[in-house]
Amino acid sequence: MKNNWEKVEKIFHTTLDLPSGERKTYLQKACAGDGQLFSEIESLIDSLESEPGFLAEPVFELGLGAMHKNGQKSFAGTTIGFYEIHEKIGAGGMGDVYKAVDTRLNRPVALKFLSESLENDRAAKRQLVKEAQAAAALEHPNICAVHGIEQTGEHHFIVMQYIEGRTLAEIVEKESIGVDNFKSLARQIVTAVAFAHSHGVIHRDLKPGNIMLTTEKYIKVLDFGLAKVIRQKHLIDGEIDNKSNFSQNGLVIGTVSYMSPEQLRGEKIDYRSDIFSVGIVLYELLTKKNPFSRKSQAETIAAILSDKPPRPEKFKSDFPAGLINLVEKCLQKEPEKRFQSAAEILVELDKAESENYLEIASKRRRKFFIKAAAAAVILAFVLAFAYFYAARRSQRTIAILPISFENPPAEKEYLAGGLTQSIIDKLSNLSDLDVKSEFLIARYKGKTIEPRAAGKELNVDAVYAGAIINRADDLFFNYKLIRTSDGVVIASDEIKIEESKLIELQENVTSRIINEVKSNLTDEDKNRLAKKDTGNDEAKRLYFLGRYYLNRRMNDDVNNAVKSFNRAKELDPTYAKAWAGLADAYLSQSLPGVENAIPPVEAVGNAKAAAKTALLLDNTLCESYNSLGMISLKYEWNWTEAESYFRTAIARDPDFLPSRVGLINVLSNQERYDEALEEAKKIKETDSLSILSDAELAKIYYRKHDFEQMDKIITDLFDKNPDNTRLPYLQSYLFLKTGKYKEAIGILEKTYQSEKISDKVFVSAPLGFAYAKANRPAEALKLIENLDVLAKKIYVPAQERAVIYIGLGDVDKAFEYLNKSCAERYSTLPSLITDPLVDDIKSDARFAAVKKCANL
Amino acid sequence: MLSTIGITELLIDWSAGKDDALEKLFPLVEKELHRLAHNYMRKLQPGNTLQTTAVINETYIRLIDQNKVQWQNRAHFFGIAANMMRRFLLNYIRDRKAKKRGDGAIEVSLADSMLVTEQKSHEILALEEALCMLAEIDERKAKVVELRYYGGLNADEIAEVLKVSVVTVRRDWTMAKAWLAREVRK
Repeated sequence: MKNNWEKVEKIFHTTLDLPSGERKTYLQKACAGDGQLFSEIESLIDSLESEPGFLAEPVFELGLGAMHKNGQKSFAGTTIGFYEIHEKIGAGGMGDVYKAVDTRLNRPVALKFLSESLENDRAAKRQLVKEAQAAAALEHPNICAVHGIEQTGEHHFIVMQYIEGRTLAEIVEKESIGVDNFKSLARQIVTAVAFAHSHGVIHRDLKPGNIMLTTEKYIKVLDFGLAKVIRQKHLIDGEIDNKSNFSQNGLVIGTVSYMSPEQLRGEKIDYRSDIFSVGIVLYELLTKKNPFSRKSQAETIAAILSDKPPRPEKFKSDFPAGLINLVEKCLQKEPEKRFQSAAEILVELDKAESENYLEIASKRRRKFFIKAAAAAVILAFVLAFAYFYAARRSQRTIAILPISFENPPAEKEYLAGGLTQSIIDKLSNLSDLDVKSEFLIARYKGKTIEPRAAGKELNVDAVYAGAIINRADDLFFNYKLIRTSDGVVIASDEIKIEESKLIELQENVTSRIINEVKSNLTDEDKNRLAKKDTGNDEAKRLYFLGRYYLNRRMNDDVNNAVKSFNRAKELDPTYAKAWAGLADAYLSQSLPGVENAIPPVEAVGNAKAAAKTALLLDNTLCESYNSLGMISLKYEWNWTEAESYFRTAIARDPDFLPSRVGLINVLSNQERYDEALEEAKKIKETDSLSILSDAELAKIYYRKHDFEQMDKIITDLFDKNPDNTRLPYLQSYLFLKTGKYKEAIGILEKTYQSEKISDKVFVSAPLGFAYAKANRPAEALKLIENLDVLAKKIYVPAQERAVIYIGLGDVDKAFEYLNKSCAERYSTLPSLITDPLVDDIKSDARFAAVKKCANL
Repeated sequence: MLSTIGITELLIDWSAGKDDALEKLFPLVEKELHRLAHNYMRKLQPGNTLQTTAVINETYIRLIDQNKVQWQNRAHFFGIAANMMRRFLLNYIRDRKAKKRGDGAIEVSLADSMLVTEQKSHEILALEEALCMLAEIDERKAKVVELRYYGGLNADEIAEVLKVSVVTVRRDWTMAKAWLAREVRK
C-alpha cells in the first residue's frame, strides 16, 4: 500500500473535490482499469462520508477531566488540618475518599473531599453542608456516622466514620447469599433506611456500592442524603436533564441502574424512591443480578421505566415466597404500589420469617428459636436483677399523683393526664430515684385522697401532688412536694400554663423536683435529662391530646387519637413517643365497639410499622415493645415472639404491668401454668395494692382447672375488697365450672343489662353457657338469636356463639362457629382453647384442627 | 519544585535528536498538565469550552525558560502535549478496564468512572491500533491526527507546529480520517 500511497492520496483528493455526481466517472478514468486502486479509493471516500462524526470531537478536554480526577490522588500522604491523610479508598461523584487519622482523637476516619466543580458552586456547597448536618444527626448502628463537614484552606471535606469491611457490590460478586444471611442483611439495610426516613433524610443513591458489611458483619449504609447535592448540581449543569443529554460530551452522572422510575424522570421524589432502590439491592442480593442492568444506559433507563423484573425463580425452592414477594413489592413502578414506608418492609420481613418458620419448621430452626427465646429469657432475668439491685440500693422513692383538674373546659382536660405522664417519664431517667409507674398511681385518679396517705400507702419517701386550676380563663399549675415521713411540704409553687410552652413547663417542674429530691446527679443522669423527647411544643401538645383520647376511648376518640399522634409525628418525625402512641391508637382502631372500626389486618399492619419506627428512634420505649408483644399475642399468635417482646419490656421496666399481664397470657395459652403463676406473683412486687396480681392468679388457676385454688383466692379477695366490681364477673366463671349455674346467671345477667354493646356481646358467651347448663336452652338460643341480629350491624365474634352451642351440646354448631372464629383469626381464639368452657368438646377429633389454627 | 532549566535542557536535547530526553521530559510535563487541568477544570463554567492552546501554552511558559529555547521548540512542546494526552488516556482506559475485570469491580460512585464513557473508550482503543498502522505508512498524517484529536489544536496551529501549509494539514486530516475510519470499521 505504501507504494501507491501518494497516487491514492492524489486521486482521493481530486475525487473528493468534485461534485458527488461527477466523482464516479472521474474515479473510473483516473484508475484506468486498476480495479484494486478503484475500490481502495472508493472505500476511503465511502468511510469518510458514512461516518461524519468520526474523530469530530478532540479528546483533550476529556483527558484533562480524567487527569483532574486522577490528580486528586495527591492528598495521600499529606496532612490537612488535624488529619493525617493515608491512602485513597474510593472515589465518588462528590470527590475522592481517603483513609485518614484524626490526630486529636487518634481515631481512624474517612475523609470525603468535594470535587472542584462542587467547590465552586456556593449554592451546592451550602446545600451540602445542610445535608451533611442532617446526615450527621443520624446516629444508628447501621448507618455510617458522619462526624462533620470541615473546611481547611481551599478544601472542603466530610469527615466520616472509617469502616473496615467490604461493600455489598464486592460481596454480591463473589459470594452467594443464603436465606438467613439475606434476612439479616435485608433487615439491617431496611432498618437503616427506615431510621433515616424517620429523621426526614432520603438517601437517593442506594446501591450495593454504598452499603458496606463490616468485618463484624454489621451493615453500614454510607452517604445518606449526599446524593441530593450532586444530582442537583448536575441538573443545574444540564448534564442529566433529559435522556438525550446523557452521553453528551461523554459525561454521564453515574450509574442509573439503581434509580427509581420517578427519579429518572426527574420528578420530585420522596421516601418511596429509596424503597425502590432498596428493592434492587435486595433483588441483587437474592440473584446476584441487577434486574434492570442492560448493555447501555439508555436501555437500562428504559428497563427501569417499563420492564417487569424477572421473578427470581431459581431461588424459589430455597427462599420463602414471602421474601420474594417483598422484593417485588419494592420494585413496583408506581410509588403508590410499593411499601409506603421502610418500617412496613420490616413488618413484612418479620412475617416472611415466621412464614418460613412454619413452612420449613426444620429442627435447626426450631433449635434456633428456642435458643433465641432462652437467650431472651436469660437477658430479661439479668436485666431485671440489675434493676432490682439498683432499686434496692436507691434511697429515694417518689410518687407523682395524678394531677387533678376540677371543672376543666372540655378542650383543656387533656392537660392533666399529659402533664402527669410527662413528669413521670422525665423523672424515670434518673438512676437512683424510684418513680412509681403510672399504672400504680392510676388508682388515685379522680379520687380525693390526702397526698401523705397515698405516700404511705405506696411506701414512698415523697409525694408530688399537682392541680390545674382554672382562674378567669387562665390556667395555673399548682403543686406541692410532700415528705411522707412527716408531711412537711418540701416545695410548692404555682405556674401559669401556656399551652404553647408545654416543654418549658415540663422542664421547669421536673427540675424543681430534682433539685429537692436528688442532691447530686451523675453525668449520665444529666445527659439523659438533657435529652428531650421532642423540641416541638405543638407536637408535645398533640401527643398529650392523643393519649387523652386514647385513655377516654369514647365515640370517635380512637380515631381522634390517631389523628393527633399522626400530626405530632409529622411535626417532629423523630418524636418516638408520638410513634408509640400512634401504634397503640392504630391497634385500638380494630377493637370491637370502636366507631368506624377498621379491619384488624390493616390496623395491625399500621400499628406494627409505627411501633417499629418508635423503637428505631428510641429503643427504650416499653410501650412499643408491649405493642409489638400484643400484636404477636392477639393477632399473629406467634408465641415465641410475643414472649420475647414482653420480656424485653419487663426487663426495661419491671413496673410495666401491661407487659406482665401479656406475658401471663402467652404462658397460659401454652399451658405453661407454673411459669405463669410465677409471673403473676411477681406483679405483687410492683403493685401490692390492687387486685391485679391475685386476679391474674385466679385466672391461671381457672385455666389450670384448679378450681379449689381459684375459689380460695377469690374468697380472699372478696374479704379484702368487698366493693370491687370486677370480682363478681371473675367469680361467675368459677360458678360455671362448679355447677353453680344459678349464681353465675345472677351475676352475668346484671352485666348483660349494660348499656355498652360490647359488654353485651362478651357476656353472652358465659351467660348463654350458663342458661344451657341450667336447662334453660330457650334462653340460651335467644341469646344466640340476639347476637345474630347484632352481627348484622356490628362485628360480633363467632366465638361467643360457639361457647353457647357447647353449653347446649350442639357440637356440630359449636365447631362451625369455632372454625369461623379461626377463619376470622379472632384475637382470643387461642385463649379459648385452654378455657374450661370448651372441655366438653376437647375429645372431638375436630378440636385438634382448631388448636392447630391457633398455633397451639 | 520543578527545575525550569532541567526541562528546557531536556527539550533542547530532544529537538537535537536525543530520544531519551523525551522520556525524561514526559513525567515533568504531565505533572504540570495535571496541575493545570486542576485549575482549568475548576474555573471552567458550565457551558464554556476549554481553550486547549491556552492550556498548553501556559504549561509551556511555566515550564520552559524562554530565553534559552528557539521559537520552534514551542511547536515541539505542543507535539509533546498532544502525545502525552494520548498516552495518558490510553493508560487511563486500560487501567480502568483492568480494574473492572479485577478486584476493583465496584462502581464506586456517581461520576468517576463514567467520565470517559464505554463508547469513547472503545473509540480511543480502536483508533490507537489504526493510528499506529497509519504512522508506518505516513507519519505526518498520524501526527496531524494526534495534534488534532489528542492535542485539540486547529489547522492553523498544526500547520505551525509541523511547518507545513494549512491546506496540507486539511488534506492530511481528511485523508487520515477516511483511512482510519475504514480501518476502525474493519
